[in-house]
Amino acid sequence: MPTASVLSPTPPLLILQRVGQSRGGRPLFDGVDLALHPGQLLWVQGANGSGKTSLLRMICGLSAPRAGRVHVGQSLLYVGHKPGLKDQLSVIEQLRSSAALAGRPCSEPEALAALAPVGLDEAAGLRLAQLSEGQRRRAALAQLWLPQVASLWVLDEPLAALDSAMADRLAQRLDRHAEEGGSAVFTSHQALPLKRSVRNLRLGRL
Amino acid sequence: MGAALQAAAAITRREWSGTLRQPAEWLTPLAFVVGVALMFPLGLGPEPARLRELAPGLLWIAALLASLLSLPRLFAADLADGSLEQWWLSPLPRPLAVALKLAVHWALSGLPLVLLAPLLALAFGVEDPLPLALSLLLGTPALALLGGLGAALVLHARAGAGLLALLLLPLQVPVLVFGTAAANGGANADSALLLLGAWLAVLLALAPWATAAALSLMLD
Repeated sequence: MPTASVLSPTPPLLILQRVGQSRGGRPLFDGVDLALHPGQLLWVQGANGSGKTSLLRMICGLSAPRAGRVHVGQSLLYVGHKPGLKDQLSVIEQLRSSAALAGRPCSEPEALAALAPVGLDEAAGLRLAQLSEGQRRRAALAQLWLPQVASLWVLDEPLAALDSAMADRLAQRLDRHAEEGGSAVFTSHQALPLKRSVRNLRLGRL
Repeated sequence: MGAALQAAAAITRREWSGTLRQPAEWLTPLAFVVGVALMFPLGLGPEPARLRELAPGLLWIAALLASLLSLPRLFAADLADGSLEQWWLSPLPRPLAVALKLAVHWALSGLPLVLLAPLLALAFGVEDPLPLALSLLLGTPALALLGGLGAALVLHARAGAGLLALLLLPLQVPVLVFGTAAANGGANADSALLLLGAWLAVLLALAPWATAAALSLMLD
């Protein structure tokens, strides 16, 4: 039974109370208790099929838990395996559209500034269909560098298809987000080169 | 409220731009109706009086079948690329997100048919194509709303296109009956148009909610 609990004076951004989930009648995990406070990062680990993505989707409210309760304190940003990229849109159109869709619109200069850290500022006018898988991943992650961003980030395999330089920049961004009072839940099969300490939640057998 | 409006504008813009940049999506129904209309004289014979009499009903059937063409892909791409999840996480109520998607779909696939069909009717010698245009103006949004619900229900089905047609054709019967009665003119045309409008109002009130519920089930 995976459990994690930390006492903190600040109200948690995420609370999981004895949460359980199943898929196709097969239990994935049970009794997950967790309170994630501002400034904390949570690394969800587990083998393929252990329910990492299911847990993240449940946190976002995209699926209902089989048991228990999920409470999200403030705004949330989800970058999943399939982050809603439209091949017909340009990189900058996609970024501005994603931001507006989340109710946090950004200007063109702000979008260009967010594309610079992911190395796509010079490709801002290119259609997403013209990008490689790694570049598409960067385009999806560029939202994290926008000025108005959610407090709780939920990132599913953010390192997938990224090179080590981009992984370093992502880790720096996560560190800064936590310093600024934000939180993040992420899954990954590799460790992120983070400076801050990270809480771990292990699902299933590793 | 401001955030919801921003999200609504974002969905509308990205659906509009995305669809316009795929000409096959919105040109196919138009080309289909023109192609079917060109076959009328071949199948029915070239007598002008007969073509004039049958044209409104036949154009309505062509419009109905054309509306089925793009439906299997209506939500499939949004499910595959994760857009549906992003809509669901936006501050916009889910039925409103669905309604906006369907509105853009209708504006780019149904509205051009409303404009094209009267021209085709004129070509067949119909003297007053206005009843046909009005009936399609009320009927094609109803077809889009029904189509959206059907497309959501068969999203995970393997033979989705065939199943969708089987599911939708019975539901589309009232639209076709009222639509053709209104398009043909005559004593009952006004009543048929009112009934078509009433049916559209019912669908506007219910279909986005039902479609959003079906899509939520597909996502869960």
